Formats: sequence, C-alpha cells, structure tokens
Amino acid sequence: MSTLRDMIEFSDFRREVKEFAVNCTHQPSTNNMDLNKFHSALIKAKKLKQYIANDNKDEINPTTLLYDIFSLELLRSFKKDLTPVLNKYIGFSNKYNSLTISVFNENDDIQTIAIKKAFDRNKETVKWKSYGKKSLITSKIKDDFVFLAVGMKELVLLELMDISYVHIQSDSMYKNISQDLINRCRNLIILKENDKSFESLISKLQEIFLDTNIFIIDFKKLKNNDLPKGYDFVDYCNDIGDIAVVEEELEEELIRQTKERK
Amino acid sequence: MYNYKLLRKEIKQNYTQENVAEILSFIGFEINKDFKFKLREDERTPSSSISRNGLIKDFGNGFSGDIVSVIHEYKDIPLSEATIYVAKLLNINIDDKSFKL
Repeated sequence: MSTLRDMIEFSDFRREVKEFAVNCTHQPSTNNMDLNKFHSALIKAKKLKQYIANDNKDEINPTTLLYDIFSLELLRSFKKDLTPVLNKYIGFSNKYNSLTISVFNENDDIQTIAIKKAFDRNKETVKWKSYGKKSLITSKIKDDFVFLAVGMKELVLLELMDISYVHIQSDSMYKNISQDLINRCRNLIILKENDKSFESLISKLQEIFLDTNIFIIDFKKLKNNDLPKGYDFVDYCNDIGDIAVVEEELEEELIRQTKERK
Repeated sequence: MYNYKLLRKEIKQNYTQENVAEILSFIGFEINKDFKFKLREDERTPSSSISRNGLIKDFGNGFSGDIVSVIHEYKDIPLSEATIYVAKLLNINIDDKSFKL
C-alpha cells in the first residue's frame, strides 16, 4: 500500500508553491518575454519539482541535476549555507527537464536566462539555450584580485566563492568589457579553459587590459597532466572536491607567478 | 465511525478546479496551466483533466471520478482513509456530529 504525504505539510506547501502549483509548468512565449517573471517561474518550478521528487524517486530531482554541475563533495566543502546563491541563480525548466541559470544586471534585474540542456525543433540537444542579452557583462569587484569567468556555471561558482569577478557569457563577448571596468581591475586572474578559442581569448584580453596585471591559471600545469578538451575551472574544482584546497592552490600559483615577474 | 457517504458528499461540494489541482500537486502529480496531468506513469502526454467542478477524467482509459477516487485507485489507499485525508485537506470538520455514525 502506498503512503500519502503528511497533511501537516499541506499549509507550508500551499504557502510556498500554491500560486505556481498550477502555473509553474507554463513556458512563456519568447517574444517580448518578461525575464523577471520567467525567472520567478523557474525558481518556483524548481521548488515544486524538488517537493515532488522528494516523495517519488522516479521523478527528475533538481538536486541530483545540480550535482552533475557541482559535485556533492565540492558543495559540502564550502561549509556555509549555499542556498541563498543557489536559490537566486538556479531554476528548473519543466519544458526541458533541465536546470537554468539566470544572470542579473547591477540593478538585480534579470538580463539573461540560460537553460543547461534544451532541444531544438529537430530534437537536437542545445547546450545553454539562452533568452535575453548575451552581451551583458556582469561584475563584482570588491578587492584587487578579479577573476575572469566565462560561462554560466562559472558565474555561479564564483558567486558561491564570494570573490571578485568579471563575467562574460561567451568568449566573443569580451569586446563588451567597458574601459571603466578595465580600469577597476588591478589584477585579472584568467581561469584558462582547455581549448583553442580560449587561448585566442587570452590574447585579446591581454590587448585590452593593458595596465592590469594578468595572471593565467593553467590547470594543465597545476595538475601536471594532460586534460580533456574544454576542461575548465568547474571541472578543476569538482576534481579537487574541496574549495579550501582550490583556494590554497590558486593562491600559491598567484604567489609563484608574482615572484617570477620580479 | 464516520458516515463516509455524507462526508464524501460534503467534500464534493467543496471542490474547485484550483483546490483539486493543489491537492493533486501535493500528493505528487504535476498539473499544467490547463489543469491537465498524467494520471498513469506510462503516458507520454497528459490525458487527465480537472473539470471546473473539480472532478477528474482520464481521456486515455476512461477513468472518471473525484480526487478521493484517484487517491483510492492510484495511490492504493483505502477509500475511507482517502475520504478523511481529502476532507482534512479541504478543512472540513470531520468531527462534526453530522458526519458521525
């Protein structure tokens, strides 16, 4: 015999997801889309999907999908509450059964929403299908060491780490980095992805960040190993599995590169 | 002991499309904006629908009933227990003497 959810939970359920219990699967038209509303719907959809998955192991579980991006080991190593960041940035698309990541501008309005794994009309997989402005450069500069983040999951990871960053959604968007932002970056730390287009990006960044100290973190050298194509900072952190160790290794590498320059 | 027949009648008078959708979501069904959902796991697209008066029909296999029937048949809960469960979720006072035998 099956069991039902404890009815004591019903008032909490109603309070949190009531207005979205019926509407959360609604995928608004992409024409003139209100991204803030879409983002809210995706966040609520994730909560509801989690409720459902907690009671039914056959359902897709957003938390399990999250561990495909950031390993459980890595997330646990933060030793702080990650839910404010994760609940702010990560939603769930019922249409594509996939996690989504949102990008905010300086006014905390949504500028871009990207769906990790969508599909097109031919049912071909589309990675990071996005709505909104791909050209948006977001940044958080609170000290002299600014990390360059390229890609959606990198944005979330740097937010979890609560460090200074400049974020571009893809390689080609580097052209949109303003001179004002360039001037604010005393030291720029580029987390190098293992592919040729990223090497080309590094050259271009070196041309525009003329007065900035640029540090290039090459994970091949850190790991002293050949790496698969596309290996990036998120892969590195998942491999290490401990954010404190990652931060130590980055610090040591920065110190080493600084000494080499003298 | 309860007068389940009377209780069930009271429950049906309290159904709305929205509160039935809420309860179905609560117990694990995904309801879309058109109040459609999959009652059976082997469905590819939702065949069941919640009517304006809160009744449920599965156009795939012909099931027709209310949420108490759904819980009884699809969650394998005894009818009496399903009746009490839904009554409580709808805030019906089951201890009212009219429902007692």
